[in-house]
Amino acid sequence: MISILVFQLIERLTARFGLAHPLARQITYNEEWLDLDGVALISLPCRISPQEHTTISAGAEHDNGGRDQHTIVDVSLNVPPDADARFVRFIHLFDLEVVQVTHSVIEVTRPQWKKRESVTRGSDQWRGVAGIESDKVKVTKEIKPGWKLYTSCWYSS
Amino acid sequence: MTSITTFAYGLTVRATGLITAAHAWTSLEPTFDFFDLLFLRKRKGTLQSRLSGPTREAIIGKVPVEVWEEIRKWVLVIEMEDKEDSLIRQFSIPCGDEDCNCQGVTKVTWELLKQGTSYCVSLEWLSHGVSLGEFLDRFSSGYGDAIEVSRCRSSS
Repeated sequence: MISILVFQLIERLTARFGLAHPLARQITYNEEWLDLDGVALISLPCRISPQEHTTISAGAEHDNGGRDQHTIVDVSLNVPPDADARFVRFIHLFDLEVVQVTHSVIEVTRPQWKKRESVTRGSDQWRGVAGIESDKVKVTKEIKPGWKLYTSCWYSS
Repeated sequence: MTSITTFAYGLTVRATGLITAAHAWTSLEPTFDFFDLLFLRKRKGTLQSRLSGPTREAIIGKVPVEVWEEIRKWVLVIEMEDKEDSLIRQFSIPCGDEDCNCQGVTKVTWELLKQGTSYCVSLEWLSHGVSLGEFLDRFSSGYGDAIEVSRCRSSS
């Protein structure tokens, strides 16, 4: 009960400052029971027009049977002019600790990847960037929001 | 197996700090409403006080915005510290030992817990009752529908 309340409280807080907490969880990367190192993603509020939704879902509800489901949407990269100022204000006011947990960048401007196109893909090349590397995690004074792509995968009972 | 992918413009912050801020906000929201109104009236030059006597009335109107901001900042800091302490304490039972060094701890913080073992207030103390570990674990395992859509709010 208490954790549901936390998300409501976080949503209420971030909304007041023109921001949002898009995930219903924190992002963890160590295995300790009492994990005090987890981070939370703070973002601009967004929605997928014309719906009210903020996330897309492929809709595969059942583990067994049924056809594969796919969803793809366009992304508008426009941000409001005061976007970065909102983060600065919010983080300074509540004295939050900015923690950098990313270690890779998706790039479209470098053409090197083309070289590999002729090579027959082994299973290794289908594998993507996986996991947060603890030694790359760092606390920073810089408040530099940017576009983030977050993926989480877990076993549901 | 469940998987979610989220694309967002933002950054990551330490979760414990955000949890504290979110709890403190329940008490701070009316305070911020008050200060917003005060700043608005300050800008319009219509800020007045009901304090009796012309001198006092004039003084309130002349207090600069920077001073009010500093006052608001202090209210916020005090509230955050108190909430952090009470939030963590609700998961713990004091050890009750008068000789224990935890008796000297006036405020429990996430930082104190991180330092761990030197105080009994750390892990052992907190492992009783509804434990903090469970609380944080539920926060990290996406309690309920993790994919549940959070309602979009228009930004102000």
